[in-house]
Amino acid sequence: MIKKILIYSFLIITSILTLIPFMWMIGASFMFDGKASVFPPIFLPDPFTLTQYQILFERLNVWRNFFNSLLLSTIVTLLYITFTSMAGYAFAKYRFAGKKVLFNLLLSSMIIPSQVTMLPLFLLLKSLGFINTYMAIIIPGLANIFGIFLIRQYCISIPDSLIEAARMDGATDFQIYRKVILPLAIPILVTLAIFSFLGTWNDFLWPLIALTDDSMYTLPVALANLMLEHTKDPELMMAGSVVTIIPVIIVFLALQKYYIKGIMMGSVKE
Amino acid sequence: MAEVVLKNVCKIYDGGNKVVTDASFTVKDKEFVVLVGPSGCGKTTTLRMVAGLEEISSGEILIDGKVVNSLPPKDRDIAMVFQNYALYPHMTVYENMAFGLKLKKVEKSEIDKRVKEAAKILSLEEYLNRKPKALSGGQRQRVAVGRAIVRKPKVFLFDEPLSNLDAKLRVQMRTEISKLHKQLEATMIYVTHDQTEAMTMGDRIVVMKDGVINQVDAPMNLYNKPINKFVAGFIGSPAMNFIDLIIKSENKLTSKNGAINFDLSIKNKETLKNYINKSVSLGIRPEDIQLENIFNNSISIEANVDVIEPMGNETFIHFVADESQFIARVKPTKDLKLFEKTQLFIDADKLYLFDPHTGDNIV
Repeated sequence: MIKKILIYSFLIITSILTLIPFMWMIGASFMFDGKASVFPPIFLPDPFTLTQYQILFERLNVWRNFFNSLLLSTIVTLLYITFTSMAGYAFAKYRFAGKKVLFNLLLSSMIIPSQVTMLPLFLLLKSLGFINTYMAIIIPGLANIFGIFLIRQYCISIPDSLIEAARMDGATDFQIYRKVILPLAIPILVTLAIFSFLGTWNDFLWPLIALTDDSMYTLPVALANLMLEHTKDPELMMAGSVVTIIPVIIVFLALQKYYIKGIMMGSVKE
Repeated sequence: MAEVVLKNVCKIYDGGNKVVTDASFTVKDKEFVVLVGPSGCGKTTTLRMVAGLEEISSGEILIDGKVVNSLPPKDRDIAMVFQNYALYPHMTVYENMAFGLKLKKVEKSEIDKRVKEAAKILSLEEYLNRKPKALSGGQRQRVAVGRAIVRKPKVFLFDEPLSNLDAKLRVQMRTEISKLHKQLEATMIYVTHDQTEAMTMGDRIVVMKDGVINQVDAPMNLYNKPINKFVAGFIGSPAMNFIDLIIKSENKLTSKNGAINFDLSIKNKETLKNYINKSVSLGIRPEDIQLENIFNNSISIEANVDVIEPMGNETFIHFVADESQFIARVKPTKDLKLFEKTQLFIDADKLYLFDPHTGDNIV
């Protein structure tokens, strides 16, 4: 009982600590200029105002940036899930020459920090004429070894007999992938979709390098510009932050129920 | 329905591991053939080669007179029931059964008709909307069978379908599959390691060991006329007793230190001549050893009672005589005491002799 109380107290305290900056951000976004920069910090806006949001939408092309972020994150997530699931499934269940070598090679590439690849990637995309287009964000996000690895591990746990049963039922390779593997892999696909969506939505450095036009900016890049112009306006900054994170929270809350859902139960006798 | 023919089929894995050697047999139209053997004998591999899930290293497989070696499973018109059910967990029972037909683009009304027919045969009607996880083991296995039935294939393949069920359910499903065979009049190939399943279900049985087919015959022929020591020992439960003896003359057998002596009345005396003063393996079925002399032609020996296993309707008694252990299947008895010397009677007309090296039946 005491153990339970201790665990719960710890969890409650940690949750509060985690939520404090978040609550302050929301509170500050509804304050007048200068009201947020006080110590100790105030959480409830008094008086309450939507001025910061008004300024934000007037000065910045927020809708355009929001559209860019949403479009890019959605496209990248869909393509990422498609490609990594196909590759992961192939690595898990198909026999082909050089499979092990290729997979180890891909795995070893995980040790290369992404910053190192930015320059060659930029030059490559420039030579393809993709800089300052949506393709500059979509192409590098199509797949990564982390996703392939995760799907591969998940697919390994799917019994071969299910695939064989589908084959006996007359399914083609693609039909097996589409109608048997994908539905079974929903928990891991959702997990990866969340990672990918959050990653693309929050990504700052690469869009800053690859997109040069204001109208192409994603929300984090636009927000950074706002920061440079309005260093002394924390309330406006917070309003921008709220607009940036709301969609991400919605996506997370909507998908979290699929996160770890054990739908494998009952398919085969282990 | 169709005939399945295997001609000198071999399976060699990468690295030269030969798991099936020269398998040749024919499964006639509407016949129920059981492949039986211990784990690793190649029976499942043979079945998977018929299914098209495993490539054939050499030889030919014909279904309905057509060589299917290079045909993918879907073009062989066969259905398979897997050991672990292999039901699609995200689909309902109905969708599981309809999946193959949907892929074949069969009309919806026809799919519905066939699924409902199969569900009726297998008493699954009330479970059609359930997912596999909400079913018991026996029900899941029935869905797996149903998935095969709806496709109306030429040949049904069963890969140890009952081995995950408990003993009682296994007996029940065994009779259900046998009934189904009669009802559907289908060609069926059934793999099991359980000799009881093989004996009770098969029209004919293929006994395999180490990738080689030892004998193909009707169940009672296998029991009464085993071709070698392996088949004799594998078919029948409890297994046949084997005692190593030396042939002294055409009709005299003795154990190494002379404690067991048999007078043989075997017809095939010519063969025995080659074995005089050599050792042979004598095979006796447990039911051919009794405590009373009920046989027309019997041999009597003395042995010590080692273990008594009362089964209710019968009793298994383990004896030891001259370092040889053997088991007798007798009527329930209270007269026996452990470690006591007892006189036993053996049916002299039902003795088997096997070559100790090749294992061949020599009488």
